[in-house]
Amino acid sequence: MTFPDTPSQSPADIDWAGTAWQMSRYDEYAVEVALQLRETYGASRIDAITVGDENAGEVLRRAIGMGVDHGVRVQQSFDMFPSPFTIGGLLAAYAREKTYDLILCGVMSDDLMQGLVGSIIAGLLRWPSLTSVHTVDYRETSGVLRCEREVEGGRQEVLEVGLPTLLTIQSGIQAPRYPALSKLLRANQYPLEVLPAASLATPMGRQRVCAITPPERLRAGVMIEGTAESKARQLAKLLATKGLC
Amino acid sequence: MSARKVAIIAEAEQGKTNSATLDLAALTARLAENECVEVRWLVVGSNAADAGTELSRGTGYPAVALEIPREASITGELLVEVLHPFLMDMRPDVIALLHTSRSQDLVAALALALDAACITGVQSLVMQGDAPVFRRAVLGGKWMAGIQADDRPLVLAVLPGYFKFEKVGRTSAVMETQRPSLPVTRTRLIEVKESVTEAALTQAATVVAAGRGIGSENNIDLLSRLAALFPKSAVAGSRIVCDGEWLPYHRQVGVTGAMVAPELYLACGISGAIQHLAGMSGSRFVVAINSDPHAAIFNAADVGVVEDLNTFLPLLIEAIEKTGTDTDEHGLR
Repeated sequence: MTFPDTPSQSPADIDWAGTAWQMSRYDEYAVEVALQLRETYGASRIDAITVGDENAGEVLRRAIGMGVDHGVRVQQSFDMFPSPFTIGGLLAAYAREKTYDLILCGVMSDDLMQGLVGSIIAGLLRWPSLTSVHTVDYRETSGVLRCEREVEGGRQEVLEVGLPTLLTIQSGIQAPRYPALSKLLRANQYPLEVLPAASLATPMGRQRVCAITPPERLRAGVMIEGTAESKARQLAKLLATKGLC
Repeated sequence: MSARKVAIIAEAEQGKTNSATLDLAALTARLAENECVEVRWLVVGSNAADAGTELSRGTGYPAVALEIPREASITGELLVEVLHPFLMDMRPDVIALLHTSRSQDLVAALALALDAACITGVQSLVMQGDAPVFRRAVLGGKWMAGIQADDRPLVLAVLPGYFKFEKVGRTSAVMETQRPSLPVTRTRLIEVKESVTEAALTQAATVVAAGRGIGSENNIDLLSRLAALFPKSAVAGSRIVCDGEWLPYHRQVGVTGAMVAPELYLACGISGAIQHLAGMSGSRFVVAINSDPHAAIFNAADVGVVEDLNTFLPLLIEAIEKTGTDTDEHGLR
């Protein structure tokens, strides 16, 4: 991986090893949906599965703290930008050996934001899937999930899909619960299941991140400097000069 | 990578496609420059032939229209099933389509079917020797990742608005229409609820927008007071603000909310996620206020202020009120 030299905040200067790892925001919503489905429709077992090095264990502990039953980590050495085909392939290989009815993923990760891992898992398992779902309801009589999601321009699609299925979860009104301290402490004692990398064949990545660069400037981005009062006066004057207020 | 065959997939709804669809040809033209033998539109949906005729005329590329009746339950799964035989027959080296909520249901399935790589949210293309590198936002838009595919077919989901295609006069359309038999799908579209976006928002001359950085729901009042100083103004929010119920969803700006293009866009505590930028990039003048000097929004702003909103917004409101008064006094003199 090559990082360009920039005056500040080049990822090359960032010590990833010192980063506080946490669950992606959309994954928190996915865990919340799983817990709520169980609370509404009764008993079922919920596993949280991740791929990564020891640091990824934190994500599982958070999920267990929220109420998930079991945590599984597929060991992979650290890679800040892994291929979605590798991660999706490993998760699909793990899930294939289980009898899950429903797999939930965050719609995208907070870091790479590609939104591919969930659909790749579903594709490899030959399961139907829906992306960007924010509301899930189980229809007990027909045994299908009724899902709602947003599409372009604020329109909402209502879709139905039978089980087994995979959904990627978009953020919604139901904020993910915050684990109680006592539950987090218990989660810290929980023996996580760790699968050595060699136990599942590592799938081809198909693609790789070759460079990280600062974003292109879309506009001038002139920064107003000074004290807060001075900045406020300058901005007010600028808006007035431009006839905007 | 050699792009000998390129398929551009367009989704049609009653003969209409997303307005950025034609721009996909700008990317594929660059990929295909020397080696291309075939670029083809695959237009799928209702009245696909109308849309295909437009796209073929605008670009000079032939189009295949795959007609699906409007009343069919059109899901991502159905589109993949309908497209599959054509793609297996054509075996394109590159498949390009727009990065939209709908296409997120297709891209991985298409990539797996063709044993292809898959790059989503593509914003730009740079060549490294002969090899194309596709750039996309990562880490909340603070950085761009350059992604390279292995030597294999490639599916590209291209973010609307980042490529511009110059129309090639009006050539005559080369069209072929097919009515594929519809497969049985496991996903079913039950209903589409229309947008609830308020006209007050899309027609506002000034939009004051709140992001997570405003800190608490109480500060919405501060934004309303600021907005009240501008004529024809509206208060809007990013997705996360609407998720938190600080503002109703019909006030959301972004890919899944409203697209706005006001004279003035005042982004308060907005980080600048790509999904939000897509909803406001047409604004004439953008001012960003954020306490994080590295927030991506500053790259998409004409003017930026690094300040805490709690302290800065009252000062700004006071300064604007004073400016107004000064102008009046000046006018009297």
